[in-house]
Amino acid sequence: MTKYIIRRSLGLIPLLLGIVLVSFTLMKLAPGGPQSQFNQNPRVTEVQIEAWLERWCLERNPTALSVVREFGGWIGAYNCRTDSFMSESGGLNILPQALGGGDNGILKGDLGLSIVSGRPVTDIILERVPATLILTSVALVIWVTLAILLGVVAAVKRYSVFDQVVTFLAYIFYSLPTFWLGLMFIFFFAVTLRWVPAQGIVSPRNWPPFNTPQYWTDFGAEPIAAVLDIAAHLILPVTVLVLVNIAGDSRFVRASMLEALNQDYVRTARAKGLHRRTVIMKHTFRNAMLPIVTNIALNLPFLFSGAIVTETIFSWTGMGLLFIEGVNARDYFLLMGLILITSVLVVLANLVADVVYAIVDPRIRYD
Amino acid sequence: MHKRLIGILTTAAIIVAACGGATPTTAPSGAATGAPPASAAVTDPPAPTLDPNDPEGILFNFTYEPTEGVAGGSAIVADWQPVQNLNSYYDNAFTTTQVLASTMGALWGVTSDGHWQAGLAAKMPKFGDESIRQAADGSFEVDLELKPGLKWSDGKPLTLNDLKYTMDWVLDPAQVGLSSGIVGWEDITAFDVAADGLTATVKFGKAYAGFYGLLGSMILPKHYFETIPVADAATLSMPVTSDIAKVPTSGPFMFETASATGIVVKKNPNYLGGAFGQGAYLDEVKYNFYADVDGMKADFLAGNIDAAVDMVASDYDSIKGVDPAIGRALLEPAWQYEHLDMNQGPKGHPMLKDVNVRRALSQAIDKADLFAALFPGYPVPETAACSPAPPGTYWRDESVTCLPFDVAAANALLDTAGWVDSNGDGTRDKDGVEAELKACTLAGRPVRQLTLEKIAGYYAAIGVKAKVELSETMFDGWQDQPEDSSCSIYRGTYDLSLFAWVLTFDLFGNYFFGYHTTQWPDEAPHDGGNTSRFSNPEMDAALDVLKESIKTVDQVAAAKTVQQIFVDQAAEIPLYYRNEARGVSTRLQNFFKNPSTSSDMWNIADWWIKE
Repeated sequence: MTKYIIRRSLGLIPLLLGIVLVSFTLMKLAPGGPQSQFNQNPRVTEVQIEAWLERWCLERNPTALSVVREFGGWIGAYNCRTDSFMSESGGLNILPQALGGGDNGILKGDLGLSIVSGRPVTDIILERVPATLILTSVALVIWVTLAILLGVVAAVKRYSVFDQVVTFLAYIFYSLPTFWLGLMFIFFFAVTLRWVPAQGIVSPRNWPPFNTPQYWTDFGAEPIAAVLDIAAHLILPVTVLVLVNIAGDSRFVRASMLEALNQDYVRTARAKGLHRRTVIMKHTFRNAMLPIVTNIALNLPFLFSGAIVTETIFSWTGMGLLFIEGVNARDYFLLMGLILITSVLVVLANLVADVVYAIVDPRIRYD
Repeated sequence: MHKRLIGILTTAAIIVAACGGATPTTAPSGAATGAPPASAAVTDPPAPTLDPNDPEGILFNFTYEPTEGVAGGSAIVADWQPVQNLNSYYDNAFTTTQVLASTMGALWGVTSDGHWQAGLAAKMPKFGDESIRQAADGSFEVDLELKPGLKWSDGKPLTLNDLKYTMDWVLDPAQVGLSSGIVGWEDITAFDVAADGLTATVKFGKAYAGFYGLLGSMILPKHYFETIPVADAATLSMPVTSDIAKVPTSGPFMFETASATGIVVKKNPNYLGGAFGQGAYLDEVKYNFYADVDGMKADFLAGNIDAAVDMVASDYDSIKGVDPAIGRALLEPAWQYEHLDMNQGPKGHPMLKDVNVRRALSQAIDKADLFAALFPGYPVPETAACSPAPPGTYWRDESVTCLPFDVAAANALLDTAGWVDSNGDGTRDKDGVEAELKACTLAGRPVRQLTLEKIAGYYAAIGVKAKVELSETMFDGWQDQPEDSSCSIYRGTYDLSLFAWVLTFDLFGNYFFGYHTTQWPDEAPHDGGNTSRFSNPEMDAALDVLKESIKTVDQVAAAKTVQQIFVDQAAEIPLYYRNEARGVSTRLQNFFKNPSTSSDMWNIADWWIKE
């Protein structure tokens, strides 16, 4: 198992490199760029735009060579200031600074600066992570719990009224677009009935903007009120996320349970006279959990990458919304930072899923 | 309930985009728009009149009648586009302008009825009192006078040395990425500040018509900005983080904190302004940013916003049903108009070079019918779009004779121009060239697509075929797309293009770049804005006056000439003047929407809360 983990971990490096290279290339090949902010502005000359692009080590019309240079700069292999693969101190730029290399690039832990705001990409991402974690972790726990409960009961009581209702609702919510569902909830519950807040993470009338030093100061003064305020704002977006995701996952659990229920060892357990609950929970469910655990592990990157549509509909300023803002502004370095983080999480989640699978099922062995 | 559901669904289904709302330069806008409902017709502002005895009055004589309020309270202002940079010299997006209008002062600003009003300045410089003096060679001097006793929010004195520093900062060779460039600043040859810092004389080496706007730019605090390297100012000077609190302000409010979610500004105890000398009434203003306009509207309808801004007319339908106990929806004119460009350049259809053809295309459009089709049930605006000066602009010439809707006249003009259907296929032709036009607009705007489809119908009635094409890259710069990119207004690969113009107080900026022959984008360095490739010697002469004359009388006269030539030569086809929607809570008093690109926060010092 250790060798397997090491082997898989080493394989992540070229995989991630390929993902970010393809993503970067596709972004550069798309028309336009961050310089589009100067479009239709007669007061900014072409010379000034070119100087601005040069400052960001970007080229307006990408060639294969320019894409390599820009990607190399982002990675840390290329140095824009020296316009070469050598650092200012004369060493290969890709080497650590202590060995004469450069200080730029992700290989040195530098995700670069946001082209739009000029702030470090790392800082921007870290600011948004708490909001996304709050939303996605609450939603994930609720929908996984409910999906398992509903799926197990639906499988045990196959073709019952309960099963029919769950199936029917699953198909409905699985089909409904997230944005439409979110808008309907906002309209009914927030605007018409005014039962819950419509937008945002906190109530702006009562609290400073979320995740600012002033907010945390006020949070410390009234923690319960702050938590209740956030909880109220979580109701609608979490409900949307749960309904949309529970549909598919509950069907998955049901199918997995049904397959396990039809196994010989279950029939044997019943024949031995074991209590029904013991048969279901100890024998059937534990075996049916294997693919479910895998599925849950694959959902883990969602905790950090956010839910783009849900965050946009509810103005939940998390990672998903940050991604949309980066796309709209063609903020290449911000987007690459987000893609890199998401890619790392996805491939790590896959590895975790495989390892957990092996742990849960002793029959599974990796060489 | 049913209507609300339809309204929300319709709103959700329609993707309404904007290119940052109104920006402080003349720019084509990507936003589609709508019209008021039958119960709320928009009334055009009164026509401006130039008093020969006081020609400058047309610039300065404003009407503003706020109510006196009570101190205290907090207001929530909402926008749906994030602030990326709080330094307007790098980012002149609408949201940035909104926030800065409440914090960073300037010598003067624009009122809600479209006139200059002194802010930090003791008075407006004028030709009439010789505080503006022009020499025969075109150079001129402007005397500036600051109100006494002004301070930054940190208590440091605010003087005209700060404005002089601002000029030096803009012109610093290390500067990169200025959204307003150095236009105008580079013409200043001397900036002499008196010893007390309250008066100064600014000398321009040549005529620069936009000097009011230039000298009315945001004043930077010298003592703060000189601690930041100019090369790093774009990223470090005014960040959207809690560090923004370090920036001294000169407006009614000062920064407390900033984030992607919102910005909080608190009352500036050192601010001396306000209509009643009160400083700022409010204790604080919170700017809340939403991911999209629908979210902002939902929160406004739920009563969580005091001022929902940055909305176009089509948003009015969604908010007009707001509970009267919560707020009211406003629909008011904006200095913008939707129009059709006709490409008169080498890559455009040859028929568009003929003024008679352009006039025919203008007269073939039934603008009232178009409006009714685009906005069913809404009253047709009382003023049909014709001139490039919307109602309420001080330079608008009401005497301009517009081309009426007249299909017979359009057909006659085309016949006269030699475009006849010689082969009986229903489409006119001439010298073997069919009258087929490529009509372009930005993709993702259903209202715009419908507009072009309607226009194609009108043109079919006069034997001209218009093929609608949608483009994602219509506004991309010359250098950002290949030569053969279709529907590019800068590459000139279109025949007709549909978008909106947004106008400012600067007549030179409004029209010179858009209609002067020297501004064709085809000429290197390809940064001209005359995307229709219009060329007319009389128009060039009038535009040269706008560029080189700084006197109000001359400017207004030239602007009127521009309008008449624009209509006579059918430079473009204005389709309708746009309105903008706003949502205002019942508790917020003294909100006066500004039709120019100046912020709705122009009088935020006078806002007060009535509980």
